[in-house]
Amino acid sequence: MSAPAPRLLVGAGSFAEARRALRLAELLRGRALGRVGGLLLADPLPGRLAELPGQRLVSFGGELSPAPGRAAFARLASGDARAFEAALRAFAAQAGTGWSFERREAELAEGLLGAAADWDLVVIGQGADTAAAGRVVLVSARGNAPGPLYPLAADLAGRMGADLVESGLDAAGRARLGRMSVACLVIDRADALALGRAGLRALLDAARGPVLLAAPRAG
Amino acid sequence: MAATASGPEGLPAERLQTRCDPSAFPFASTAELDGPADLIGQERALDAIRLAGAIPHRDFNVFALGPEGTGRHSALMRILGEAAADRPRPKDWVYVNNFEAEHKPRAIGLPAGVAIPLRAAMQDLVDDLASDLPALFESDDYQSQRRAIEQEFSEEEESSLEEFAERARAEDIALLRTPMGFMLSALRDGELVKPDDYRKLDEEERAEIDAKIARLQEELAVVLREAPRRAKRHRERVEALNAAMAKRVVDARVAEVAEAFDTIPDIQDFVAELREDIVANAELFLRRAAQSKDAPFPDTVGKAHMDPVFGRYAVNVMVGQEAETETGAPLEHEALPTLDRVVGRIEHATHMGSLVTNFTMIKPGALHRANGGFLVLDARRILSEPYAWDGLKRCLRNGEITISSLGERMSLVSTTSLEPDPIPLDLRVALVGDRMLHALLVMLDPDFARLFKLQADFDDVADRDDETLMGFARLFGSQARAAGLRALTAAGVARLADEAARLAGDTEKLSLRLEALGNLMQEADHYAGARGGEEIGAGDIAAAVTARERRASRLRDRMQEAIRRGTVLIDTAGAEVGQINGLSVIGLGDYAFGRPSRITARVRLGAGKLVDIEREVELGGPLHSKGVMILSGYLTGTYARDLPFSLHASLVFEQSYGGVDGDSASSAELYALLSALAGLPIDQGLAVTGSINQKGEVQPIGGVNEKIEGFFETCAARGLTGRQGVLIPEANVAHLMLRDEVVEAVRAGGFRVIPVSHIDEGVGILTGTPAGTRGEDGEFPPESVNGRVDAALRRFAEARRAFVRAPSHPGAGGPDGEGAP
Repeated sequence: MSAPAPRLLVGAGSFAEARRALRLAELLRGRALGRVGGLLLADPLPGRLAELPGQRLVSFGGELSPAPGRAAFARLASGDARAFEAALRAFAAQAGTGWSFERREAELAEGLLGAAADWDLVVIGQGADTAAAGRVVLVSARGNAPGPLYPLAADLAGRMGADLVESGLDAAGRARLGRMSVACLVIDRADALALGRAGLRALLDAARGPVLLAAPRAG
Repeated sequence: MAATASGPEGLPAERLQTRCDPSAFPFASTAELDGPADLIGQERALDAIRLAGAIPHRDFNVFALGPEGTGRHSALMRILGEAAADRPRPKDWVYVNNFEAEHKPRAIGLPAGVAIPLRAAMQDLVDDLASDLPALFESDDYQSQRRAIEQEFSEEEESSLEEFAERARAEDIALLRTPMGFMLSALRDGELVKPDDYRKLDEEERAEIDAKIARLQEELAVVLREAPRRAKRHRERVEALNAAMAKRVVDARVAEVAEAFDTIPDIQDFVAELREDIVANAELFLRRAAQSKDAPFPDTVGKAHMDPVFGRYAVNVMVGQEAETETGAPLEHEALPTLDRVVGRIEHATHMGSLVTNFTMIKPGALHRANGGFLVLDARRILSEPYAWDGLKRCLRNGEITISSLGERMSLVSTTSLEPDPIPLDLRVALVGDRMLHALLVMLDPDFARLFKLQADFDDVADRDDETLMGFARLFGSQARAAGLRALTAAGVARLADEAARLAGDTEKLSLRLEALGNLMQEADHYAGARGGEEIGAGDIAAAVTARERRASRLRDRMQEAIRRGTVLIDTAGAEVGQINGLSVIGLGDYAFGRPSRITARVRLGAGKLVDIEREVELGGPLHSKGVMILSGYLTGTYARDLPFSLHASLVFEQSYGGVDGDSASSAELYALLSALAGLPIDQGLAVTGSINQKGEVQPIGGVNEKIEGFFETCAARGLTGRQGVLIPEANVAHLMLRDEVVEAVRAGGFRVIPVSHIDEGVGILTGTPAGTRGEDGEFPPESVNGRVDAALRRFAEARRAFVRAPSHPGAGGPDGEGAP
């Protein structure tokens, strides 16, 4: 009896990041996919921080402006949710599979910890679009020994025309990650969930690029 | 009505046509005559063409003028063709892209036979690079170098942000990424300070945090603003890598082209510029490679050089000669000499609703093709094509071919256009036209005489002597051979020569209208074939002449029928006062026939006015009016010279509704007038042609053969009486080349052709009464024609004088006053 097709969750904090995650998901469509899900995690913190006196926003281009209010973040999140849902629908139609979409108010790492357990593959959209090439980084809690996700990571690196590097989950590994351009970070789903909210948050911050949490059987 | 005497016998039959004697030819058939034949009787014109072919100086272009069908065009093509064969092969010319100013394509002159190989070499170069460059950019060598740059760039970017994040963390400030940008927030024990907790902090602590955040925000802005500069540096490094890699491949391929044409400096210069441009635009090749992956044909089938995007590296051959097969200079003939087809054109294509063009759309004209050699054009056609003559003159004057579109010149279209380099022009133009056109150009175009220094004047007749007849035989023998016709027998040549004399309208000349004679020969060849003959004989030529006349004679037959049936009133017997048969010729293209016309004259007392009814109703041309005025001069100078001219006479071509011109009927009109004045009837069996001068001398006219034959046909239809005939000017006897049936009728005594040299001679024949000459007393014999005319005019003068004196007619006798006789 063959294993059921892996279920894929696309998680992101905005539509821009979701689009990036979907591009990565495209590379996974070569393998038969089961159901796909979309999860938009609108972090309420920036909206609340914006209410503090003197808070400013530094745009990605380096322009300083007064921080937009909570309402502005909410409007943005609503628009992103609609666009994300439409893009996910199109993706699922092409993959020929069913889909579901959910919007939650939660910080990215926290939201994913709650949702990732139900999915075999979780693609997290992160980081800015850049012309620069990055690397595929396979992060393992078990050191440098090739784990079960190595073939998946190698396949992705080949498809992206990127180098594949392996890294540990320790502080040195995270520091190295922070100085690296990451095209995709691949990590065992169980290892990621074991990091807890702060650990996952730190990992995502270090990667600043798309992250794939994969159950070993899905690799 | 009185009958006239039978009159003179007229010319003997032998003088009515001069047949060529076949036995005078030293051959039985033109098959015995070898080799090409030159035109006959055109030495003057041929020498001019030879000079045009040989002289090296500028502007010795030639205008071949003369009647249609005299062999102008074939003579030009033959002589200039020979001259062209002796000239060196001219340069090839190509247009290539001007990489610095694309709207000014560069013209490059190349040794003969180089342009086409150069074009092929450039096509191969593009095809090779379209394969080599994508392969290079997909190679591990390139990819690893490119990835190294990318990673260096991305890690530099990541590092700068990470360094900032670490620095902020060290000050207990967290960097938060939001969908709209970055925000900074305070940390306490590694955890974000929530807004509620922040508000609980004392003021001093909040101020310290606010200050740190404000400072770090400024620093973050600086870090982020550095990104575009880093990106630019990154792009430059990638471009430098691409250029270096591309240059390696391009240099190798371009060197092959440069080596193949290493003796031609212009190609070396072009190739150097080309190399730079290909390296700078290597992306074009990569883009095509990406697109061709989806194309229906693989790269090996789809030729890259056919892709319009690589048109910038094409070689547009304006003049290209096959390396081995062609020799000598070109000889071109442009049958449709429009401006575009003479000086070349710049084509346009529609792109996104606009008209666009480039140097590959420059098309050569006849001047390009003929450059270095000769160009033959029809003068009338080039003059009738808008701006073509102007364009040709401009190029000849400037010594270079400058292409400009008519639409642009007239500001009819507003679109992108080109200013191609002019191409140096060195050729000889030969125009073919008629004499009128040549005269008009000389008179009206100040450039013409300067640009066309030579005229090749083609005669339409040649002297008919033994040498010319032999040349005639050789010429038509050669033409028959060239056209694949049967050879002509000596008798056939002689019959054809007779027809040439007939066409010339002169027994001592041969017509040089070779086309008409050639057509006759071709038709005769058909008849020879139909009867199974192996050669074209005299009978075949005669059959062709008869058939041609029959085809063209519908109108002549209808006119003769009208005379026969009495619809058109022409008498061929009896005698009438003041009435005579004049003769006119009707021309229908290359066919002409004669017809008789009744001319009548009425006289009465008047104030010296001779009314030409044709002129009054504007049916008479100026030459006809001139003839009538001349006969008025004859009357006033010959009769009653001591008295005022007191005649009122009217002259008319009866039943003429289509207009009359020429003065060939002026003698007939005078005879009718004299008959009317003398009261002597004119023999209606005679017809008259000839013009007169004021002294009464009868002058030659044209179309004498057709006129005689026209009256003969009328008479023959009613039955020849032996008294019928035609009075012709003495000077026209040399032009008689009458059809056999007329000659036979004369020989049998049924018809006469009577030459006259003076009006007295003619009037005597027509009236049967001597004209009479003035005696010692200065008077004409009273019973002579002139005596009667003189007396009549005197009577009119006396009557007029008496009339003016009569008191019962006040006012009569004024300048134009006329009274009853």
